[in-house]
Amino acid sequence: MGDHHPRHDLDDALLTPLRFSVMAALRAEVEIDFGTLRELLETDDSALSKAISTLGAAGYLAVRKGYVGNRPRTWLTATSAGIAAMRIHVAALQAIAAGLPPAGGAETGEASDASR
Amino acid sequence: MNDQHSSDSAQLSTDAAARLLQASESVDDRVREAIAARTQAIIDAWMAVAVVAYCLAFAFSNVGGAAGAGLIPGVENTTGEGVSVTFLVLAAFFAASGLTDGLTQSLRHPTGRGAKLRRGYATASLLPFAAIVYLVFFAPTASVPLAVLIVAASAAPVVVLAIRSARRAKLAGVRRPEPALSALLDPPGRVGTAILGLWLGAIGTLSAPTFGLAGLIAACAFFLVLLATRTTRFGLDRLAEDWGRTQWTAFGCSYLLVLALSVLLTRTTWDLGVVGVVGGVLVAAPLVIAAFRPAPIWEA
Repeated sequence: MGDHHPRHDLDDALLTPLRFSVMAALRAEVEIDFGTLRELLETDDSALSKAISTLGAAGYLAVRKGYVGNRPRTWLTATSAGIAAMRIHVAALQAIAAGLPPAGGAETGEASDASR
Repeated sequence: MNDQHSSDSAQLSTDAAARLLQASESVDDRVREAIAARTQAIIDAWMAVAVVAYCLAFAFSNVGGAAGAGLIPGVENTTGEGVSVTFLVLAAFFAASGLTDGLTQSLRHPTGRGAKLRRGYATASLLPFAAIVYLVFFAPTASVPLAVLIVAASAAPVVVLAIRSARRAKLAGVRRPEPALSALLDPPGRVGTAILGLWLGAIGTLSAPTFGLAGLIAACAFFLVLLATRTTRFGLDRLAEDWGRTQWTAFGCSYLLVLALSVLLTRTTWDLGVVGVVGGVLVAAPLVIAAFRPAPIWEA
């Protein structure tokens, strides 16, 4: 496994733009409520719910139900697993965006395919 | 933003990867802005309380002639000791400003509506100070009730803005959860917090007429140290970043005790030496205790 193309480090759970953006927004030390996240990401309830349930199933975010006054709120935070996964995913994206060739020559063809 | 699944990561092009990274940076930016707006709202709300308390204490302790007697049972006018007390009140206010400035500087600079709110808040905060300047220079013999009324009226706009800020902070969709971890402040944090308390306490004690101008000298030294340690590890701006709820609450208590002490030192006929010593100990105690209490640790 010496020849390693960065695309192998991409995380399937983070491959859609919305799920990737959700994880880009979330932090471990800050809770963001569902409505605020929806506005920040300019998306709708249904798409965001699906993205959250996928990321939740992967263990990348934690969901907490609470109240502000009488209004129910759903608070979201990134888990440490989510932050670690995001770090690896972003590093892989950066490598792809930089057009880095694979470490060995064997995958040169694949690399050029991926960057097309 | 769509949630379309593209399972074949091999198809991710250089451009697509760059676009995703750009989008992530933009989202990160917006989240930081939302966090900064909430933190700023909390700072504004508390700083408004500090400004109003400061101005009221100043009006009580530095304005008004003998006509102010009888406003509080046992509290009446004593004259000629206002200089040290003025510096005592200023020391507490400068400490509060230094701490909140540190937090404000660590936040993103507000833009658009946030910037407009900041300008409005800054203007409203100046009104009580303008009222104090007016009272000190143009109506120094105004009665205490009238002085307090003028200051209270001038503080109305900043109080309204503070209430709005507090409400905005409460309803904000971003906030810090309860910390999972907490630990003692690091040694510079502990030393800085304890020294802040002890120094404010010492200024409080030395501001009593018994000690002559010692209070004034201690306060001037305090201002110089604040300036000299600014942006250093022992500076108030750094302390503010390390503090948790316990330390902030302790500072709030010490701040209010300083203001109460300033009023007692100028408006009472009690034994001011004793008032100064007891007041100084009470001012120092919350921060000295809080220096050795845990503060939250936030994961990076």
